[in-house]
Amino acid sequence: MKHVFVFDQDKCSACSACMIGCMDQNDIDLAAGDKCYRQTFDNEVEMADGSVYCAYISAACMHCSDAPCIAACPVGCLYKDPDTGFTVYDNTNCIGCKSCAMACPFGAPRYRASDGKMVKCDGCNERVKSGRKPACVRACSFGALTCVTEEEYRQSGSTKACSALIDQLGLRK
Amino acid sequence: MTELEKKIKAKIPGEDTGIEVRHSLCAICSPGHHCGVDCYVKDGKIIRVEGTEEHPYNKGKLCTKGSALRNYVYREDRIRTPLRRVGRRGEGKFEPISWDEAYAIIAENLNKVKEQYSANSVAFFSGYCKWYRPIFHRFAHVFGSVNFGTDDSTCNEAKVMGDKCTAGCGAGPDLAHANTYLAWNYEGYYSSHLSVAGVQNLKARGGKVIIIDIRDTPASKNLADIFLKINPGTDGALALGMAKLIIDNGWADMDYVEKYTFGFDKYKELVDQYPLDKVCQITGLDGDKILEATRLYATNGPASTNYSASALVHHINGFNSHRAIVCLSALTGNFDRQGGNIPNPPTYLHKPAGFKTREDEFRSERYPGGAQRIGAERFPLWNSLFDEFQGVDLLRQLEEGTPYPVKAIFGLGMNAKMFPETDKLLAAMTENLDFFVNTDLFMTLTCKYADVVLPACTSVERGEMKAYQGGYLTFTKPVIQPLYESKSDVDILCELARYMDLDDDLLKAGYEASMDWIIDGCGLTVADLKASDLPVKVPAAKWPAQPGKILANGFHTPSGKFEFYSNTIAAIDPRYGLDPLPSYRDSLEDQNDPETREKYPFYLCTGARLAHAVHSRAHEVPWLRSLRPNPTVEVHTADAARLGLRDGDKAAISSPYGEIRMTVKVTSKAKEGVLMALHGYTEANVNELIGRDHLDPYTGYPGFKGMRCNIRKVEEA
Amino acid sequence: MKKLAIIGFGGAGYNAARAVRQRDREAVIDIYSDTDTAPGNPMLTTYYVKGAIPWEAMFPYGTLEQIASELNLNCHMNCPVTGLDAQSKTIRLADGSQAGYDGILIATGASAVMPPIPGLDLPGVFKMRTVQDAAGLKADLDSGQVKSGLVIGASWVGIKVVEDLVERAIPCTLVDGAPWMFSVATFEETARRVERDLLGKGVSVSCGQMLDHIERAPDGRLTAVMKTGDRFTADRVAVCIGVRTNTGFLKDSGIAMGRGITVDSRMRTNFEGIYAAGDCCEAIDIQSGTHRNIGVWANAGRQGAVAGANLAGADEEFDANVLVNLAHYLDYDFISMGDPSICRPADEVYEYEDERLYIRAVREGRRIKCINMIGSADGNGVVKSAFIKGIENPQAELDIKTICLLKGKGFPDGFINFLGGKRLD
Repeated sequence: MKHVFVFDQDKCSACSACMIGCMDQNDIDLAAGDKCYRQTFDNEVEMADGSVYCAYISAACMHCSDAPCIAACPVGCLYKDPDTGFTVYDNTNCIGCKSCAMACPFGAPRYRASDGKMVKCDGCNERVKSGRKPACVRACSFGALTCVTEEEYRQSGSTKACSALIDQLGLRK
Repeated sequence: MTELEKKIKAKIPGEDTGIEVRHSLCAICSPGHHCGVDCYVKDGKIIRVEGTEEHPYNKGKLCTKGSALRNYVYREDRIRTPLRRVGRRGEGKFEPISWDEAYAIIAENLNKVKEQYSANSVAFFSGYCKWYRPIFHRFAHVFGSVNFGTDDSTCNEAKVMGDKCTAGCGAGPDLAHANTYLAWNYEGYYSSHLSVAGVQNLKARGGKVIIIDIRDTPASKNLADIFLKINPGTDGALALGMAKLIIDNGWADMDYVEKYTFGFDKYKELVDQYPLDKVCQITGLDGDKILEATRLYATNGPASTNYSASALVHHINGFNSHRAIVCLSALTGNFDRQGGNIPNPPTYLHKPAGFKTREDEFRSERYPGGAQRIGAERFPLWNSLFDEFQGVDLLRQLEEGTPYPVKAIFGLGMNAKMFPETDKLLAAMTENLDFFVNTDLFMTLTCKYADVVLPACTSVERGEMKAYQGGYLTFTKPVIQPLYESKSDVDILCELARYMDLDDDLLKAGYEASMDWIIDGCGLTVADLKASDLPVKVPAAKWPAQPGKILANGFHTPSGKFEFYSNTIAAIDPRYGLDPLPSYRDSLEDQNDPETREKYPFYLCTGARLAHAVHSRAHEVPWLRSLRPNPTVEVHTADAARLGLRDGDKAAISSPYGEIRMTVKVTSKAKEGVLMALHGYTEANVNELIGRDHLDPYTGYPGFKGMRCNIRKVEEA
Repeated sequence: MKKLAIIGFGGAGYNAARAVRQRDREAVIDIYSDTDTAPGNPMLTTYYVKGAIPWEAMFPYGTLEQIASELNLNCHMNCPVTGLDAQSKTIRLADGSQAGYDGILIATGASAVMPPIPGLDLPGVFKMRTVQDAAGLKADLDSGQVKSGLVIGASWVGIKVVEDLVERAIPCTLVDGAPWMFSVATFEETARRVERDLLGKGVSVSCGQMLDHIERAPDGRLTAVMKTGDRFTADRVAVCIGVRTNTGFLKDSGIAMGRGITVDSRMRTNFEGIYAAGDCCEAIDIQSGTHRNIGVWANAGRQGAVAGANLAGADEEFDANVLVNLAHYLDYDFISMGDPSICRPADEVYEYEDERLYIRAVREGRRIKCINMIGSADGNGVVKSAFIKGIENPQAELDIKTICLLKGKGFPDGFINFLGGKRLD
């Protein structure tokens, strides 16, 4: 069943529980300089009218329906999981060339210095396949970050799917 | 990778992966929460933590800190064995000893002080943890000391006192039935994650939310219909001004006032001194906005108010500010009414339980009496309302030795950083104590001053009885064995009671027997609780609390009414100058001389919550620390521009009492002239800046959230 | 039943075949290739030499057998197409046979340029493009006989050959005919920094050096003699001076060509039913609006997929053609976006430097023309996205999320403002 990450900026507080959930799930080794696959943002952005907008955002791989990183990878590490629809990878042959990072408008793929390979959020593919929620979603107390099936998403009438962001960006038709 | 390898890597529980899910609770933050957790355990180690979906309290949710529970449990600096000091106090040099050796040293030294001075010269002090307190409290008294004190000396109890003096009890918001939520100092996203859904629901059914806070927050952005960004420390003036508007506009519920309240005329005289223009000038708010908020609050049907535990009472005018806000609830007829604020149901260990226990008897029936508790003379209102010593006076009593010397401290998680001028306190302890034993998970700054340090274990390594909202009770089972040689705090206390052969069969019988005694009559025993992995409904519990009982049966105050004018305060010797009315005074009253004003023009507000931190407890948890790696001072954009400060700069923050260095974060979330900083960092302890006498005279609470200071850029060393 | 031909079987050819098959289970797909290998990625050759990947990994889509069976392809290997009648969509093969099709994709790629300079055929002089080139160099280096190297051409492949040598501790010099390194992508200021940093890694760089000829001493050592008269001696000489499109067989076909086959956004040539994709074509560069041959792996794949979809009857467009070059070597990242040659002295320049990051960017009005960055690593995609968005709509401000992402990647506020965002503090 295809799954969709949905992010609601009006419910987020950048509390970063999602990041902690991600670190816990993926054993992110901070001491080795590794970074969490998910990042939160708590920024004040000056708007055109001079007011300040407090942005609270959580972002990781958007699992774009038409993921530019897949085509960009010279070794073919990245692919769509046919079951979940997540953009997943096997980085055995990753050469650390960062082409995927260059292709990604969200900066999701990261270079992991400890082994010279690229890593990114895989949507907690195995968890979702086993009927669980992605770790970040599981850790969100506010309903800002959710992960639903495509069908549920359509029924909800939401327009906040992360996978649709790539289209909103106008990078593709 | 095989399918099984993939599953193991993804930590999928199952027989094939050897990963088992076991239930426990997270005790990182306040006992008002303590969410149920699922620990994924493989080979005796926790490999992942999630909120327990079936848990009646948190229903699967965990906050930022709780999500890091695994990282907290496995912190590198866990104390591994009992330790005996071999270096100077504070030097941090210890040698491992056995538990028996530790007990022998503790017993000998406590008894020595008891013989040489008196049992009261041994102070028993608990840090933030609450769960073992009945055992610890009783232990202190059975030992013979009146001096049992806790972190309540600077946390939440001042608010409880304010409630007692005004309404006779505390009362929580009934959001499910409110039309308006006066979310005073409310920032649930950071401090009370489970509360947000209630506010979201209120809004979803058309309810309105007024947020009053000193900074822009996720709550003010996501939830507020009206946001009053108030000058820090001026909430009391706003509450009085709102009261005047309510009365003047005829929005007061005068039937309620006449029937259920005491001292209205004097109260009215007080609020008449706060016309709107004056209130605007004090609070920095726009008059129309105050009027709009007040109208909404007072005329939109049932309105609930948020009373925050410490945001206000950490100002030296905070006790009365809180009272002034509580008074609005009676003035508008919302106290003990549906959709307003409903008196708290019976609690166990600060947790609304819905059923009565014998916690208080257990704690205090062996109170030895015969001497005044620490701080009793200086803080008489505190002493009259609360059966613990006021730790804020510990420093003075250590130094002066009056009315009697304090010569030993038995600490469980004692943390000197919670007190103003921490270093002075540690110096006084070094100087004056014959013996200091502390128990903790981690080798803290305070532990380094102890003669003996004992390793405690975390919530997931022990069994613990805990009540939950909804009338639930649970007794957890350890999900992993205690790490290293650590022990549960209550086992330490009960073993020590046996070792010292204290005169108390309950303590010597142990924790479970004691808990059975406490919950006797609720319809369940510890054995019943242990039969379930999850909280169970207590037969005797009445839930939810129904409004109207106090209105029907009378308030628990001297007058039996809601007291705008507090008879409890009026009974205190007038030489202390405590006002029975919730009068307003400046939160920097003691620092407003021209010289101090000029030298320290900034308003330092410490400890306003952020999601990843709670006191010093989470600062050294690597995952959480990574979210804000440096002790940080938030500086307003305009101030930063003026002082040439930029993000990441190092700055010195100074007060007449000390100076610390922090990393600058430029923001416009708080107001110009205000500096915000988290407390609890050892390397940048903001409490060194708070004067030991900068206190609220009613409660003894330090003005952590309102202190004059200055800031300047420093070049990095 | 549609009958389609794909000429050339690299990244573009493979993705085209796949796109066709996704939409049309019946179509006959004939593949013509002048090699007998599975689709390979020329970019991976130097990684194979380095030992970073095994031989098979140079063929990211799997073996020929797997691909042919999975996509149901008729693969004519070692079977170069020698001519094309564009009007009738008929191809000619070396044996003189012909075949007509309903649609044709030309995806013949490009080859390393070996100009007719004396000495380029000497033993020890090599190029780096094909998997065979990689196998040769790896065996050579593995033998341990190579004690020094000279790389002619500071191109994207040249720098990777340098890396192969440096990682084996083989002293190495890099020479280039242009006045500075990566000159099609860099500002001089950036290039000088890149050269300096390269020197710091033990590689000397000499620019403005045009090759005259190569000599071989009796002991086998090679000397590249430059037009300046300078001489560079080494055991091996790599010639990495560029590529040219494999379009010789289209001579006289009437197919419109520049440096490569001219295509529109749907990857159509000037003949109906004939498409081109990948390194052999010139798609529209969205920055200049003109046709430009931009040979990068991701483009080839996308273009192939678009061409394949259109061959199968869909209507898709490729509109991401923009000059972007990423060089990642010796723990060093350099990226360029846009065309430095269009920058003028009157344009506004943004420059930034800290211990980690170097940025130089140029804009005219609000239109970003070119960005050079060193050390920006995993933030490149966010900047690139903002850059492309700016090309499409120079007046648009950055959206809040992009501002946050840029900030999160450690880009300075000044740069974010330069890109069209405005952030407080």
